[in-house]
Amino acid sequence: MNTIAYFLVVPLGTALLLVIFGRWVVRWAGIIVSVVFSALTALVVQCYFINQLPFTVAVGGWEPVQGIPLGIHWVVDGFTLLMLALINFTGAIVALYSISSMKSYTKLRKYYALLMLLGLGMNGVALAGDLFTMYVFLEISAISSYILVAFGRGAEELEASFKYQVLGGSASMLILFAIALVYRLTGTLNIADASRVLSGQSAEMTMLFTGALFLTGFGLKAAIMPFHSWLPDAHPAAPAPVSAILSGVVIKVLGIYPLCRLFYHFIGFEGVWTGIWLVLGAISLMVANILALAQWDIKRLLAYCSISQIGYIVIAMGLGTELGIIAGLFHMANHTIFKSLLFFNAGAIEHATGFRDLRKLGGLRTKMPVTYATSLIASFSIAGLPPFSGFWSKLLIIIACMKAGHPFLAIWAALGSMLTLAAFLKFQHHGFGGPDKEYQQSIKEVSFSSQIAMIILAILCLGMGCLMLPGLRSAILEPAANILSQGLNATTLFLGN
Amino acid sequence: MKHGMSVIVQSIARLMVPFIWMFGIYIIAHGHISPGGGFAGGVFLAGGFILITLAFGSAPDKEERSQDFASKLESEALLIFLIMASIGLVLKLGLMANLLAKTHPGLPGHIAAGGLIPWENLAIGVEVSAALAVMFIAFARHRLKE
Amino acid sequence: MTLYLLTFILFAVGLYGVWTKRHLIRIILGLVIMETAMNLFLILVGYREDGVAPIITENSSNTAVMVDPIPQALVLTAIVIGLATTALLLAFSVRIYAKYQTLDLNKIRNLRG
Repeated sequence: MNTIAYFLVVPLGTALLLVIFGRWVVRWAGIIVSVVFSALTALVVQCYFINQLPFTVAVGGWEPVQGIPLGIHWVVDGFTLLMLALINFTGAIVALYSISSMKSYTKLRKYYALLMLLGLGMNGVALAGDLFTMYVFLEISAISSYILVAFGRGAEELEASFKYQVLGGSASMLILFAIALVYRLTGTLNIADASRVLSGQSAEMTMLFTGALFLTGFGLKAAIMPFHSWLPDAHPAAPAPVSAILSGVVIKVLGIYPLCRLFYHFIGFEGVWTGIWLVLGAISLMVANILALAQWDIKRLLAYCSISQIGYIVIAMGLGTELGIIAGLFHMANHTIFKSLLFFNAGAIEHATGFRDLRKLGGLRTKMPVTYATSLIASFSIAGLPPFSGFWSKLLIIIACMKAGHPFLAIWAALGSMLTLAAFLKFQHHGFGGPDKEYQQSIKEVSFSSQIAMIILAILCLGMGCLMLPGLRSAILEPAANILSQGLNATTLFLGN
Repeated sequence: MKHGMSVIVQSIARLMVPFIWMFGIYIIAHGHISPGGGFAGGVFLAGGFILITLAFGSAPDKEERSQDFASKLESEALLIFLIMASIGLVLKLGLMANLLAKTHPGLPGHIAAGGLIPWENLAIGVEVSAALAVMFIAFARHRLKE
Repeated sequence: MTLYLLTFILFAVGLYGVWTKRHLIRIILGLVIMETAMNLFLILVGYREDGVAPIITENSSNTAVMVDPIPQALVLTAIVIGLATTALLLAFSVRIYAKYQTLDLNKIRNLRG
């Protein structure tokens, strides 16, 4: 159980060592960071095998007294482990891709240190058992991501990052407001303990207000539709590997994960919340897809597509049924893989040709075969064509909608999927198809390490469907879904030991 | 920034800075038994440094060197804090376990109490003062460039 | 209750500043005001009538008359975080100013929605 702390100590230590000794190791920094994240991923796998889930770890040995938690607790359950696996795996792949694609930037040791700090923050958010610890780690990862977005220091990057910071900062303040309200109401910050205190009293209006604040705050971080305006600027402006990690995991860990945790384990899904989640999800899904279809900038198209996929996840999570939760988690994992891959592809195209406007691109099929093949797999995957991973998760979401008695929502999701397909056909056609253009003589495929990163993700895109096989499903997805679908009752598990 | 300020400001700064630093050190050293601690004390230390720089000015090349130095100092102090926090982890007692508190409990309310906490406070104090100094120098240097 | 209301109003003032002003420094000021309002609110949450500083010594160990120390710790942490975000925002506005020679958002926003 002590190994859990390595998820925080190791990234922080690596980041500091990179800053101190960066001058000598900067050549190997990408490899070091990649290895560290891979080791942490291996640690997650080990946690799946060794420990009885869920369990809590008291920081500094401050064990609970008579079931009342005193200090900070790390809470580890299936959901946490799933998120940790996604964070650290994506971190490893992103570091691998960064080795060659970030070569043209200066101050690389700071880039890798920030990447590690981003990983630290997200690991902390995933592990935090109380609201304020979650808030602190949220801010650590948010601040690192603000700097990473503006790492190119161009005008566009700075503006996008400023917008991101202002909206992210207001979101943090709303979250802090909600945390203060929770503390005033319950006298504790521990999510499980607060939920238990709250079950004894009726404070519906305050909880409604608190829930609305949490939904707005974390919704801003997750870029759910009415709060999305920063994402289409910030994600395209960032360097390609940073966009991959931002779209792949950051919006989920900073937005969707705390929302699910709080709404399932603390606020409870009774009353109006199901409806609000479904409406928000449906809006994000459709509107973002339509906007994505209208984009000519590759990365902007991908960014809008991220919002629409977040919409799918919000719908699935908002259903509240166990099947819906499994579908949502599955789609979350899938989206991490294929969206990172698509941003890698976009980065490769931009690196090779120098621009990312689809109207100017074309005919890259023969010049960049690896990028072409992997992006085809990722596009089919995100569009939900069988047998790629996205198909299975979207199918599950549609089935879950039908079973929960929302046939209209199922049709809506299927329609959205068609729009996604259209957007990605456009991407494929204008990017890789079509006649050769004159600039193509000098184009080369990206470097070997970037190709490796893309190929690993493409293989995973094909293989993620295996998560539906009974063995893997009961090992990975079901523990996570179980802990959420138990709702408020699950919180007693976090107070037990 | 190059020239510094008038002789009045310089004299007052010369008079005040030792006391500011003394107070900062006091706040850091008493962090575990009274309000304050590493962050508050570190802010005082950095404040003394900022006052000196504003009053006496500094040369651009010196600023670059001190920014590098402060940046490294910040990371090193945090690394020392991290090492102190993970001693407990290595000994299977959990992250941030307070080892010294068991063997050397000290007197409650006395400065020699709290086990590892005063040392951790010291590391945090150095980290915060270095961080604030980095921020100040970075802004000051940007002004010089224009 | 009046005090709570005042912090809410302060928070609303900050939010208003962030969402309506078109000047970078004013937006940052709005964020800082929101943050201050939040810190005041947290302090109010922990306040007890006639409470003393929450330090246990030989002379005073009656926890009933002490103010709640947890919100104070939270405020201290929130201040540190606020310092970092504000410094970062100011650094960015310095850089944006160097690029555009202006801090007016209407003149520098060339990104599409």
